[in-house]
Amino acid sequence: MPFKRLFGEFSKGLIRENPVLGLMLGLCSVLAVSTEAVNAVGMGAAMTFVLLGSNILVSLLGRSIPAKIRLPVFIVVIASFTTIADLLMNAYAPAIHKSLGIFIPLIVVNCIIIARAEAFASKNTLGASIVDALGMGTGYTLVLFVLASIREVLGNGTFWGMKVTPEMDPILVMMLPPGAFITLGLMMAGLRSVRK
Amino acid sequence: MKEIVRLGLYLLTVCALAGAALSGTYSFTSRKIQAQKEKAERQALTAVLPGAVRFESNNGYIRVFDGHQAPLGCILKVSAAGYSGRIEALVGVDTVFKVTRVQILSQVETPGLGAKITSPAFLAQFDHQASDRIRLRKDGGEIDAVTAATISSRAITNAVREKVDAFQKTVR
Repeated sequence: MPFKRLFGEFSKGLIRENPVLGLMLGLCSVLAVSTEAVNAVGMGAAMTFVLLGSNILVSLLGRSIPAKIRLPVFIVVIASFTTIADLLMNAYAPAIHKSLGIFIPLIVVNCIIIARAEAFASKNTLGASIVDALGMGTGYTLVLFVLASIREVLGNGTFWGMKVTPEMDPILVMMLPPGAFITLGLMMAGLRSVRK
Repeated sequence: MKEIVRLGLYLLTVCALAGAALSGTYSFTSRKIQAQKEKAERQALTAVLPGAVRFESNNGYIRVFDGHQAPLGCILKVSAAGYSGRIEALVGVDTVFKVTRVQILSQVETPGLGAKITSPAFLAQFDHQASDRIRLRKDGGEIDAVTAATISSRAITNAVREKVDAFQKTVR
């Protein structure tokens, strides 16, 4: 496959078809875990791992999956990779695992992953599916990281756990769900005006 | 009829493979997870009573001794109803029933607000306090609540005080 096409499959996840800002999928976990930049990176890594695993397996199985039971098969594949990610994080990154809590197992029901399996990996080659997963995972992580950084700096006066605004009183609402919705809305608006 | 068998077998294979992969990962990580958990528990125990070497469980609390077998005090387990769930904590008390330190084991308070009851700045206020001083400042005590998280702060503060009081009564 030409390099240009592969790069296109990767870069579409960053802006044009960004899973969060463009397709608006998986917003639940985005809103919930974006209170700290370090959580955002942990969640993004777990998400990319599951995306990569499920895209690889689904594209390898490809047409051998009977159409009638493809969704149950996708869900078993996704649930398995999510549980593997959950166990690995619990073993090797217990602090992040603890602060993400329920949102790691909830990756199972994240529609970004099943959407990529259904709409992309099941119809495309292994290489393209890997690149697609990496692009979507990076796009998700990037948005989560920017959103979490804004919320952490404004709402808590810290970045990556370090104090950055010593004399400012933090804007508490940024830490609460309304802060997440407002910031995400502004980010979507910003991206749309840039794209036009 | 034939198709349902074929689909069933396909799903069975997929699930069997998934099960095998999961049990492999589990057996690979379980020892590490167990070790991490024990390490965290051990760390919490020594953190609430500095200098602790030997621990001895005694109905509902843990008696703590230093390296020379001298009693240092006791560690109590506290459970409070917080803003959005249980707050579990360990409290160390010395031999004159003053709190040595409070350590939060688990909590599900609002991130960025109530979750700040785990911050060293909040918990340090409990150090070396007798139980009658352990109240929020607005309740007439010495503990400053976490900003905009009075419910979480009050829950853990009151639970610590009640636990230390109750312990003091049973031991005396």
